[in-house]
Amino acid sequence: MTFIPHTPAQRAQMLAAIGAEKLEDLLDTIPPELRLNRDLNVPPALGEAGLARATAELANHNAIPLNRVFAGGGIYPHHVPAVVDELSHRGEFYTAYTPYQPEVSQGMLQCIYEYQSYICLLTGMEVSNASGYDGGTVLADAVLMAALTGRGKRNKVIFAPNVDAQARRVVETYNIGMELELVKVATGDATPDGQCPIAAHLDEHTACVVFQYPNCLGYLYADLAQRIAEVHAAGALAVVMFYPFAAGLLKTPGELGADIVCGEAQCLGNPMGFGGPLLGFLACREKLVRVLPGRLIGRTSCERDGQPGEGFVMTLQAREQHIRREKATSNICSNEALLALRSCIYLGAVGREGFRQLAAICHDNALKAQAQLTALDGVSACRDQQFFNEFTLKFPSGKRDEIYDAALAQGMLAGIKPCGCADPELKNCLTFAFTEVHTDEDIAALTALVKEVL
Amino acid sequence: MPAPTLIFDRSQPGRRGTQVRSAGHQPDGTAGLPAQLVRADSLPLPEVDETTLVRHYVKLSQINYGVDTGFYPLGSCTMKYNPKVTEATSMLPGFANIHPTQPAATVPGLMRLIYELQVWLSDICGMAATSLQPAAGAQGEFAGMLVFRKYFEQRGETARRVMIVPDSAHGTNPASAHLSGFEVAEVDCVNHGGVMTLELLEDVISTHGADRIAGIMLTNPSTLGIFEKNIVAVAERLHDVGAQLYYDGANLNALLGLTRPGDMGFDLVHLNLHKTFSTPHGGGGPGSGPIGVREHLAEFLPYPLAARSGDGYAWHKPEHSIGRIKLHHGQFLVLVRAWAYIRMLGPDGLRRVAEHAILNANYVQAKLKHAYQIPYADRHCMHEFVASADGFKDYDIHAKDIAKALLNDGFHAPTCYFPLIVHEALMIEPTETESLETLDKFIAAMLRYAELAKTDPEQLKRLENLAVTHLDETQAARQLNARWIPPANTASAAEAK
Repeated sequence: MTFIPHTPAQRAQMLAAIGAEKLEDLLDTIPPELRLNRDLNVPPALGEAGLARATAELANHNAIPLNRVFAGGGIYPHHVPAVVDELSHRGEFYTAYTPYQPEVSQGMLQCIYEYQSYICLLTGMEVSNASGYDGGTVLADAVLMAALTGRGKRNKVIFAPNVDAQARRVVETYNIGMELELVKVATGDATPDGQCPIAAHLDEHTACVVFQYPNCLGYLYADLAQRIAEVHAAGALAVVMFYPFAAGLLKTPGELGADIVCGEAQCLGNPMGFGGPLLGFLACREKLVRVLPGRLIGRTSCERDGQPGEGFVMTLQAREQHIRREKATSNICSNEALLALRSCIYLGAVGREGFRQLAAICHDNALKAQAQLTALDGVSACRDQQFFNEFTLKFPSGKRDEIYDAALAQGMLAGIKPCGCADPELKNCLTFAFTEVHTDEDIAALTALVKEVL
Repeated sequence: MPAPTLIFDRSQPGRRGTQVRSAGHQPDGTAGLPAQLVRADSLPLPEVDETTLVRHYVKLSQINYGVDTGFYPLGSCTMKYNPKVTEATSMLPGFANIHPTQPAATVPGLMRLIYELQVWLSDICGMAATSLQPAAGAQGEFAGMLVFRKYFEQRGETARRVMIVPDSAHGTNPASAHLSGFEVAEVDCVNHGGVMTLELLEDVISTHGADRIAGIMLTNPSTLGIFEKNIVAVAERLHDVGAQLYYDGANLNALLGLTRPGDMGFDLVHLNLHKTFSTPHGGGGPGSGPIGVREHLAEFLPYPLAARSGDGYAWHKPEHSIGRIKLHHGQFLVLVRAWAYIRMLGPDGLRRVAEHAILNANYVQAKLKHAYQIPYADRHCMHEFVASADGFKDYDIHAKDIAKALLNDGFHAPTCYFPLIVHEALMIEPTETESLETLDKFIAAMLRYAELAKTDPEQLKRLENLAVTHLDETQAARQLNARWIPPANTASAAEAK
């Protein structure tokens, strides 16, 4: 199948209009020595039925059911309401491109304006861009924003303990070109009472400090607002990488004083998809809007049916690459508009009380699971800190991988193995996440499995 | 209706939406959380029922234009039809519901899909290896620039920091080069027919010094839709001075199965799967921007790649990898769609895509060339061409007026004012999935505008079919309104009780 609609007669008619005899005549501008005189090395064509057979072979036969996935780390097994798939699959949305022509793109423009509004609510910020690629790339964007704000005088970026290792790797890659000084506060520096010691690293060269809330082991720094105040006292910006679902119960990073908030919003109505596409969000205080990368949608006046009215357009494009070229705030062109739209539909579907309740269920499930699992001999909490829906447990030496593998054999994903940390004790740890898809039976099944292996 | 109605405007305190969990389990939720962090009030999200929600977004979809609505000749963006079967494939739970930390050995089918796509795209581009990691075209460009940078650092050629970018290139090119720490040397191709000539190349090499040139960013067909014959000579000259060639894959739809960037001498290619391989543009994303490289650059690719391991597949990190460019494994569900597309078309189908994209563009060009100025209309174009509205300026008709007239008549507009080489540019890319009937309607409309421009320009500017017009972009920028702000008293009904 090629989706080419021409009949042979039409093709002949078109060639005649061009003044050519055959398709080959149209290729006369390609030098013969550059022509590929063989078939491409791809398998022969399939019809729809054949494709269905071929994909059924590859799609995971024994996909772990959502309620047996106890893993998070930025990507969570939340339920996606049917209404999200239904509406986001309207062809008018998903077969459109960037709304360059506002007259015929008011639908998508309004959706992104609503998305920006939702992100501002969830983060406590004043302006959000139209989305970024994922939680890692928006962290790199946030760091770049801080460096631009520092105007070359502030080139140091401090990572508080337990910021997601993969996201830090992405920042390191982006930093090949930026050449900022990246400082990671060692995990061991965290005091037992949950304090987050960054003060020793702060100086007049610090552009920003990056916090993760909750952190990559699932824990909450109760004194985050005080830490942010310390960052501000040093004249630096506070960047907070945030799990937006937590805003159902917890204060927003904005309420705690953050200047830039970013993170991964797959949790808002998007499938896990083996890790892509994801939905990076990036929001900031209004004073930073000139260094905010990516698209931005604004509301403005217009004519509606000939009368004065209001509508939406892409705005502040003077920051962007197609105008500013190499002097732009970033090279971003496309974003994750369709996932942003899905997050709008999701938040509208669950609504004000529903969102709070879902967050409460996630948290309650995690509390129950931690209580049941730490009641087992040899299992202890990795940190004596409070958490939202994710926490890390320590197992007797050598048992960690045994538990993880036994769970996989039973069709269960027993958490994630904390990675990228120098901390050797984490080699015996697993980080577990819980959402509203988990029931008491699911938690009991996980506990039974761990008990069996121990 | 003077003002749009937001979802927030449809909210009624106390109204409930979609029930995700049954009513039985309703914990209070604040136990076990630090008191300093617990919020006092719930966030003022809208309170709407599912019927209202559905009608809201259905209405918004009805005032949005996609390929499924009609003809979308947006040059350089390849707005071809997105097959429904590839959409359905990407939604299979065995793809969509997999957590990214699941070990490779437990997802052999997914690993095979990634591996096969790497291999197929390499052959399509004439490259030795491909990384599917980059999230979009611009990120592919950025990753490509970092690969060049690491390659030169590895060779000890750290002085190579100058990237040549034609001023006719898309803005992402210089931005990506700059973000990677390169000094951008813009070359004035605009005043030389949009072509990177050997003379221009010699100029820029002698200006910056042969040992400082890192490479060049080019696309072929050029932004005029013309196949650049001198590409081989340009490649030879740059390789002579030790520089690398970057291929911007925006225009690859014209080449599938006919010729390959690798055969032209390019060292690195980025692709837009959302253009050439028909994955949907999603209203502005998600895209996917894999990069392919020749053998000497393979060890610098962003990780992870899928590699053969015994009977199965495992993740692989190239020895000198630039690192991780995004989280996890690329835009996986986009990759599934591209894999399914290639699988449906096969080698013959892919070549026919390029041939028919070229046929359609040449047909439209042939029909419009007497009414619009088209540079190089004496030659066959590739998959797109650039028409100019410059001939109508005496009547105060510009490219944007032609664009808006098209919108008014139910078409999408071409890319306007790009490339800069052509005054009043209208860049037209019909793609291979449009029928002769559709093309003829578009041609008839364009010919009518050319006539009206001279006889009744005011009529041409009348946009009677468009509900929303004259959006004030200056006001949007000066008085930024980029979010809905909740009214002061927002306590929910539940909490007010």
